[in-house]
Amino acid sequence: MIDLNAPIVVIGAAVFGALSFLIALRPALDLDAAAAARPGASADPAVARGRALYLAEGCGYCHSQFVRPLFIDAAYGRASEVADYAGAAPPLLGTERTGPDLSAVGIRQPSVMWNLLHLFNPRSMVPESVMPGFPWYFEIVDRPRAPDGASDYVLALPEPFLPAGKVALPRREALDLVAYLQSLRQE
Amino acid sequence: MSSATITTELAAGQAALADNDRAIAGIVYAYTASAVFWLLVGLAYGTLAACKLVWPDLLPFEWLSFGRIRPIHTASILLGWLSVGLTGIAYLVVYRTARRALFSNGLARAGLWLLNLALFAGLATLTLRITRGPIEDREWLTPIAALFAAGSLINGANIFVTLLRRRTEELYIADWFILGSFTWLPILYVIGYLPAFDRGIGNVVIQAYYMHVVLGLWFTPLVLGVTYWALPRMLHKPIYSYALGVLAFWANLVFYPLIGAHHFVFAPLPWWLQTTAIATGIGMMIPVVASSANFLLTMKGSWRLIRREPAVWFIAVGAASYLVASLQGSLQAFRSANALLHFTNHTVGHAHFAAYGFVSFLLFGAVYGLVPHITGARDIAMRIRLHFWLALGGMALYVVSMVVAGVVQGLSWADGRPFIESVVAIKPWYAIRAVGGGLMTLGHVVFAWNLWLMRPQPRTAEAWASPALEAAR
Repeated sequence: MIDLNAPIVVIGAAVFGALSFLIALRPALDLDAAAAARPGASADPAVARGRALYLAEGCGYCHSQFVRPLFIDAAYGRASEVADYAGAAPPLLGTERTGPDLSAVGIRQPSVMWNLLHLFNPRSMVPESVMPGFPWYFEIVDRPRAPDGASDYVLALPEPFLPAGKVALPRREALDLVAYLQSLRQE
Repeated sequence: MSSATITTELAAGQAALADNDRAIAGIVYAYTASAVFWLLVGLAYGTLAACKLVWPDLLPFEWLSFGRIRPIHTASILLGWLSVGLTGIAYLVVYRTARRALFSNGLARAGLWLLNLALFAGLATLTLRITRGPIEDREWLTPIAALFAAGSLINGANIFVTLLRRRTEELYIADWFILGSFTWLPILYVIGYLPAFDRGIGNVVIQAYYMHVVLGLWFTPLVLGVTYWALPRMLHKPIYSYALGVLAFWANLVFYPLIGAHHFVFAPLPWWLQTTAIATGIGMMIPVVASSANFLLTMKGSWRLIRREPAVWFIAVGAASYLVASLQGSLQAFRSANALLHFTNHTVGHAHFAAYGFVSFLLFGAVYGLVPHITGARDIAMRIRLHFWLALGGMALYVVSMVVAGVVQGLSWADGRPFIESVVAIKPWYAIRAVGGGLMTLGHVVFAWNLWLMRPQPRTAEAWASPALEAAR
């Protein structure tokens, strides 16, 4: 009697390996070879640092950067193309829209101050939002001290967002994140 | 031969069986206990994440931020609870079907150490936001993933050699699936972590492939293999059809690797890649129907027994969920449905229907059906019914609320309304989902208590050997 142990493993591995090559490895290699980066990608180090934070905080779980060629996605601008993701490590298409698509958020929300307030606590700008705030990228200080601080941006918010008499100053991370969001201008 | 000699030989044989049984009982119990630990961790994070979508300012600490706890939830459940738990039961199935000791008990213990080490390292790094980014199910840094892969390779090799030296003539169908799972996971892992695809659109192709194949060629065949052994044993009858099992094995292998790209329908990926994914999703109905029907037809005629055995209820729900969740997934991949439902919570509902209703329910059933026999705790009364109703109620609330929320979101977007309207519209459904998660969590506390009752019992050598002798018959 033939023992099935080895055949199951060998044939199983061979079939799976061949299918993996056809459906994943070869298309991935072909696409990468064909893709050329869109010129004019931002070289600003703040944008790169901001993107790293965007990855680290898992923003991409709730925000796609992937506009489909469908009328449902029309509000987000033109459809995404291969070149939009060339060189991106990793590309951030995403699979969920717990929040809106951000492919062109730099055009939609050009105000740095709005973005900082929204990052500090999204409910200060959009009361119905369910997005987490990122207060750890801000420093909360007494109001009188703030204008002499290094920051150009002083976040003054009423209670309950900030205790009375306090303001929030963005740390470098918050400014980096905003720089990255501002750089998203797919059009 | 004098009767004295026979008695001595019998006693020696019983002692050897008892040693093997005691060792495997310890190993299976250690795997199951680790798995339940990760289940509790994963559900704590999951329930917290669900609550944060109801109360976004709840526990506003850096290390409990939604974007950080989400990958901890998925890694703890998929790689901790399901992978570790299924590996432990797979060892038991291999031990029973090979009718001899494992090739190495030490390797089985080493495998568990490696898996747990990787899981703790993953938990720590993800908490400190050290991650490869929001690329689902591949967030762990490569060295941590390598630890996990090493543990799985050791377990796979141990299982392979044990089955090679089996005392039975035929390789039981359960072992086909188990061997397959441990063959495919390393290949998948290597492709998923190839540094050549860290950037650019190629990464998307690999991501689509990885995130679905890990479900289809690791969790699915492993849990099916476990069930092909557990269910007939719990019902004291053979499986309805061995041939249907073989059909399911090969059909699963041919169709499942190809369907990953349905996660990126309408993306700038080749049209043929997407169409292949959608079409093979329909092909998946062949192995899905073959296995789920096989299980349900095995149950046919045993309803009187099943009514008294809540452990089998888990398997009945698991088999039915396998069928319905797979159908749901295949239909959601159609371009027409995908346009509306993609990006919505419908996907979240589907993922939980499959990972919980299908895979977890079958694993719950296998643990209740098999572990007490090997640990000698089968006459101990447990609260299996309470666990079942909490898990089923939680799962139903979760899946229904998320499927409805997904449709509400899709229709709101298609209407061209401002995005925030879709957020407001699904808030009640988020709340219902959180209640469902809470019920599941309560169920798992009951499960943990039941597992404590199932712990290996002190027994004499004869008492250890008797269930093994019974199994060998």
